[in-house]
Amino acid sequence: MNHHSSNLQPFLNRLTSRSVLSDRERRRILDLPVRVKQVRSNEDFVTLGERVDHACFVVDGLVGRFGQNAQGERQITALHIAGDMPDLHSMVQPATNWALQALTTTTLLLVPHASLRAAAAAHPAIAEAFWRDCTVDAGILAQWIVNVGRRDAQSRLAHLLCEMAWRYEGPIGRAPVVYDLPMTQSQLADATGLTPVHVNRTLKRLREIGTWHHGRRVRVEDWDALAAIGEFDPGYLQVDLEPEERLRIVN
Amino acid sequence: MRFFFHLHNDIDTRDEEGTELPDRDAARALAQKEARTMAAESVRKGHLNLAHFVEVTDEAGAALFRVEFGQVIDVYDR
Repeated sequence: MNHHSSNLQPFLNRLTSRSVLSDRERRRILDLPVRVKQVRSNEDFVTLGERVDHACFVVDGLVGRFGQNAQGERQITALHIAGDMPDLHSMVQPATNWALQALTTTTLLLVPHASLRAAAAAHPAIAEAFWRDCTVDAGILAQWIVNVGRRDAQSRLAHLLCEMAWRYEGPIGRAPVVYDLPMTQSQLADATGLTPVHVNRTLKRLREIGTWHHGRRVRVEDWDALAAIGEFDPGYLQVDLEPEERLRIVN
Repeated sequence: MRFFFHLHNDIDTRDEEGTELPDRDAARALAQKEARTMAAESVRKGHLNLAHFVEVTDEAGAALFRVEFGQVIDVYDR
């Protein structure tokens, strides 16, 4: 079935930025059937413990993966932006022990697990590309654990703002950077293991080195200063691989 | 109801975003938690001023109450 073949082009672009796929394999990705779903800000569209039969691709908006404690306090464990498939891994682990929430109005494409599995079974290189994408997510999660476990509040927020700049804008040079990050201070607190007041206080300190988060926008005037405070090294994001660095291990 | 939590420690930080909460008691509970968290952050850096406080205002900007660090921390020296 070929309902929306062009809609998954950004998903294909993401996969092929890290993995090598043949024309036939690329076609198979573009031909995956999809269903469009709109979610409102703060809506949980995958709930804790749910069993899902599809994965979600983010067309636009912002998605948080989260867990929570017994009091219902949430910790955001991952952020997913346009071009990400936050729960690609659910095709092999459909019982969730996490949940997904739209942090702003978000458009998703739902792709049936059955179709993803069939594509992976027919083309081992597609399975490899899916796996590789999941390992990048795991690499980001590992950085976030270092962030909440071993960095102070200022470094944590700086690291997060650097990471999101690279993920939204691609490789960042030394010029000032402006990008939209539609998160409240409360949501930033949930992503960094801080409280909203602490986030507010820390953002005020970051202004002293030329970084603003105001409304839904981030402005970084001195990238090197922010990256130094955040101890940010973008290698784990794998967003700027040269063609010869893209991998294909299976034939 | 939306409440705003302004921090007054070594510098003043105004809350322009606010937090949606059911009532004033919930706002007081959150202010206490914030005061303890910020006091703990100070202690991590080797200092603490018990007169520092979190002030809570309503949507109109009216001051409702303040929670001083010293009011929500028991300090013992033996």
